[in-house]
Amino acid sequence: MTSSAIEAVERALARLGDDKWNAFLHVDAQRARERARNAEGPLAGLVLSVKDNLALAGMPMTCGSLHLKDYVAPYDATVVERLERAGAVILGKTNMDEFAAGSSGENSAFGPTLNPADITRVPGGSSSGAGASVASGVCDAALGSDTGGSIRCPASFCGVAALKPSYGLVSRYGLSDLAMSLESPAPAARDVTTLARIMGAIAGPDARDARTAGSGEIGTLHSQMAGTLRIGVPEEAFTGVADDVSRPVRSALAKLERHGATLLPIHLPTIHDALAAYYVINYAEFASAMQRFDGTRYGTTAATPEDARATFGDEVKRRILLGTFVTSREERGRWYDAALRVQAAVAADLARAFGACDILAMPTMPVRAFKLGERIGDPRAMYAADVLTVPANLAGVPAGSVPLNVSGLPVGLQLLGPHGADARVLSVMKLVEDLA
Amino acid sequence: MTLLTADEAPRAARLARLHLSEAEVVRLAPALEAITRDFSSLAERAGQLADPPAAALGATRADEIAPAAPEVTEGILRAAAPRVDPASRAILTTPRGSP
Repeated sequence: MTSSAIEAVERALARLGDDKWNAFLHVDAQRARERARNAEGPLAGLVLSVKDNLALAGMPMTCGSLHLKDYVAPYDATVVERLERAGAVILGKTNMDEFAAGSSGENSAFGPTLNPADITRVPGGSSSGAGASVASGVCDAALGSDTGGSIRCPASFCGVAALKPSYGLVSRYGLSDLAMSLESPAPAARDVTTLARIMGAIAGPDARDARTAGSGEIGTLHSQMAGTLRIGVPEEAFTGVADDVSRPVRSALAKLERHGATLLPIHLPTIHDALAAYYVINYAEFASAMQRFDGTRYGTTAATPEDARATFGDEVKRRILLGTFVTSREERGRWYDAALRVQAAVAADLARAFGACDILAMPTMPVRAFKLGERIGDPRAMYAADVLTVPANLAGVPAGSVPLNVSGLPVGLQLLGPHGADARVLSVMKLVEDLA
Repeated sequence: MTLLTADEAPRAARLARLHLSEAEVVRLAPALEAITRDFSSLAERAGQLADPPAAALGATRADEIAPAAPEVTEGILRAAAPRVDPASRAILTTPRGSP
């Protein structure tokens, strides 16, 4: 296994070249070669990238922000530790929207990531470099994070497979949080089998993250026969979706039906309320999380507060401001408390749906990858792209995106399962992949 | 209803004092106003919803954590009392997800 790991690292470095996609913020070829020499375990031979909001001891961890440009992580995130223990070789840290606040990959202080499928278009975010590092063929898989679609969006736009795990299945220890109640480290990979192998290595309880639960037995794809599968299709999820996305998604579902699956129309009345609730909760938790970047515990030690503030991008500032405001005593009832109430209704809607079907299917994103710069000046248009990914985060349920066989820019089919049914989601993703 | 206008910028800047100056808030205010206009139906929508089932989020979160014994909660509240105003006390004792 060791020689193949060394060869895999050399292939990855050759493919990366000068990184024309701006997918990586830091590459440590020497460390990767050393690790490959001793790689042993179920993931030996796989080359991975890690998003720059996950700690890897001795490597920079900027979270895509100038504020942390000189910060070097002193310890490994649990997921990083588990990947390396399983024999995976980590090539480096990937580009991302600043502090994961973004949906296009354009909010990084170190420049936008380009989509390997079309370098004039965004790769999606916030795990932009994760998606690009796999879609470009450099890495077999990538570790990112998903707070409201941050791994599924790049997966859909770049054409790779990805999973947002059930909340609590994967440890957040060592993840710089955007919104701690909604997010999880989340993998992307060149195919569903590799994705499942990664999940098998990283899932499971961790004493350093009290919210972790579950057995972690996720790595084996069960042979799910299409003939026994009940797929819920919420019509609301197709409202406002571009034709060149909805057509291939419906076509993939029809193919599953021809192979014996039952398609069931499902009503999810709160799905379009989820976006506002998600963002209000995101603002509140983000503003709280950002208080630690005060130049004392973390962040730049600037000469003046104005200088320190100048290191944040506008989207980060917008979220801090809105988060502080929606949780202020005068405003929280109208915003934060209302958002929590809607969140509960979204979770109840999904729970009801899973009483009638095994899995829910819908587009991952309402559009294909848009042009660089097209939405960056309009945060509302940017947020709107998350409309179909945020419900899974509000409810804490697993959601995967699997690329469909389409011409032109990639399209992802999203599959949601009940909490803890990550293996089921992966199995149906594999079925879709096999039928494509 | 709009969350933030330029007139409210000084207060917003004070609230976010670690990170933002009043001038920055004024510059960002139009975008914030547009965002919150989009989200302004949230409170109305929340009001239309039936009381969410107690277990709506429990399956994924609350059930995984054993509730603290009442004496522990009381102890925390007593310890925090000098610094916790009545509104915050209500937050501490109200289950998450309930208004």
